[in-house]
Amino acid sequence: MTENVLQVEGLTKTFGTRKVVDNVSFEVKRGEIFGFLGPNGSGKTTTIRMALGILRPDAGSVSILGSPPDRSVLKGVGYLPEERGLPRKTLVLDAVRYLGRLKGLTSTEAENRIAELLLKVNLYEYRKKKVESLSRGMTQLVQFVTALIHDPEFIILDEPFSGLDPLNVELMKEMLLERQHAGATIMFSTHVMSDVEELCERVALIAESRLLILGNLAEIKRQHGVNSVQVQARSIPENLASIQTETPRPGVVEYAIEEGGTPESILRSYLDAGIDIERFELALPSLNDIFIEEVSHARSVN
Amino acid sequence: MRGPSTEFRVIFSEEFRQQLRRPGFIIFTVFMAAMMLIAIPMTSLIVDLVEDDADDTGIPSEGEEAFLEMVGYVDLAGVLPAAVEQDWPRFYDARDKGIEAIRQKEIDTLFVLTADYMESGKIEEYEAVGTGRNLWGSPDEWDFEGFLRYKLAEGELDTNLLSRVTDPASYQRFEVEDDGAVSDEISTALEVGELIVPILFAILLMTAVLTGSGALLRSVYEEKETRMVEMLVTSASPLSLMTGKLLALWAAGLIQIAVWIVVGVFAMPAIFHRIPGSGDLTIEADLLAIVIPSFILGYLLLSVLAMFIATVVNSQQSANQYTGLLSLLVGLPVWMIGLWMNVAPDHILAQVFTYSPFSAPTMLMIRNAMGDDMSSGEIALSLTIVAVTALVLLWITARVYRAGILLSGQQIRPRNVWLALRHAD
Repeated sequence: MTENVLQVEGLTKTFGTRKVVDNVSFEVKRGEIFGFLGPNGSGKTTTIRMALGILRPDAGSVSILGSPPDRSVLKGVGYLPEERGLPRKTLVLDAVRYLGRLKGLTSTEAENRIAELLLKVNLYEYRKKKVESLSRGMTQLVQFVTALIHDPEFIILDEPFSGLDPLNVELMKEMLLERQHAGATIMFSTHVMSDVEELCERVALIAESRLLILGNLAEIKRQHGVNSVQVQARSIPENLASIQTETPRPGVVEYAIEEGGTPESILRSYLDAGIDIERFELALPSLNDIFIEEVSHARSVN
Repeated sequence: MRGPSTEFRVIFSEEFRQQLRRPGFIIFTVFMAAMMLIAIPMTSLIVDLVEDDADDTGIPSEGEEAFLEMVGYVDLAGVLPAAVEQDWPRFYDARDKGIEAIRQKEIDTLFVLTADYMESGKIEEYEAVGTGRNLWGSPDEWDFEGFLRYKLAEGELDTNLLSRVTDPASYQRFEVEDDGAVSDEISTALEVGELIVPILFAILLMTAVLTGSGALLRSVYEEKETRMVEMLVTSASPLSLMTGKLLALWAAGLIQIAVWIVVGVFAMPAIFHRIPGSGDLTIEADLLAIVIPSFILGYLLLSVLAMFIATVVNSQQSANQYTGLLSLLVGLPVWMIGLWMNVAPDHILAQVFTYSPFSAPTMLMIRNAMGDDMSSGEIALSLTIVAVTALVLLWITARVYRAGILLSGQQIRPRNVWLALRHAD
């Protein structure tokens, strides 16, 4: 069994004179939930489309489920596109069954799966309604159902949570975790960092058409270093009073690690002042901080 | 692994099912069939009306005197036989009595044959104020003339001669070949059938194109607009998608036409039967051998054209405008029917329309309706052009459809289409 369900190498795509994806390489490992991050217009969707063979790259290669992205291998992939829509005048059941059958299910299998999945997303009673009678969020859930209908081993979701209310976001996350426990691999793109921190083990960050970061989320945070220290103590050493940045909660102060300063020097200041420390914690940067820092840097370079 | 044929079957069956359940499809199919059935009693009504209003033989058969209802006459010339018991036209022995009858509203029109009627033909006509007449005269005048013709000859001529005076000819027609051979009698009903069947098919083609291909156009455009195309092309090849859609629409269209033909087979003879002198409607197999392939291939080509338009337009409004263009392409030969009656079959315009793929199907039907004897070679060439154009356009459409993924929201220009043809997988 292939270790990587998706491997892209040196993907490059130019539209007209604009290079929208520039030499992007990453892999998605079997069984993981992979976050594909980037600001709007960074090239996420184009990269996904190339990974699925919808667009042909100008350079680079794609291996998905161990093969080039042709339709026979894509039967094992579930895909939720960024721009969503189903034929408005069609019944929900017909629209989903059609896509399910194209993925290899019989009519009966498709209808059974539709019933099962629509029940999960609380839309069973809408199965015989026209798509145009659904709200935008409901349509999005129906399209999510189409991505899962054939029990794919690899699920690719482009901005899956945008436009959904918090309850439906939670519902979708639960269903994704369920799929992961059942053995599926999941890759989703987003620019909402909290979703990534909650679900993903590994991430890739793309901005200005280039890959900026790739790897394990915890490691990436560590690599970006400690950027602050939180100390809970009865008082504050005099020499640190001027660099205190904020008080996250009563009795706790947070110090930004300035260039040249270290957590050790802060600890030493407390010890030298004879102040008892109740808690001393190195604070890793949030993914949001890393995102802003990396994207800002990439933009300034460009 | 599922091949293109499986993809095609799935697409065909799902699209076909959706086509058949489309309310517009059901309503239009039933509506047209119902119109044909309604036309049967309507024809009788219209024929009765026309006969009542425009019967210029003037022979009132028993019980038909009522067609001169509210008409009176005075015979100052004394040329008509003595009035027998009849309700209408009402006889008066003096002008004043007739005019008084108008005043009393017993009648609204009075004809007075003047004393010198036989020499001058003069008839005075008195009408109540507001009695209608149209640009072509008064129906009462036509009817009264018929009445006069009959009464003047009655008693002077035997029954047969009287019939011939009032209805002088019933033609039987034959054709003389170059070698002098004389054909069987030419059937007017057959001629009418040969004229009407191709025209009906041409009109059906226009109607079917406007409704069916309009639905196809909207379906393809919507898939592109909603980006559902992205999900579809990861599951099926664009060519399978386009072919499946096309043949599903085509099959649904043929079912629609079949329903109309079945109803028509019952309704048309019944309609013809109600038209006096039209005989029984006869449709020659030779005629159908040209009309049916023209219809089927024409429907196919115009449906592909609708799909092509859907792949290149960037708004629903544009899509609708181009649907109008489609009907223009199909309808042009029908609308120019007057021209075809006056030009030779080898006229340059007739040739251009016969061998231009979009006008060829209707042009073939019209030329047959006009009685042009096209050779089998000409017909085969024309239909081959239609079929080949449909296949090439289908191939182009599939590639442009795929390229449409890149071009959503943009105006697709000829250069984009060319690039799509070169680069789409």
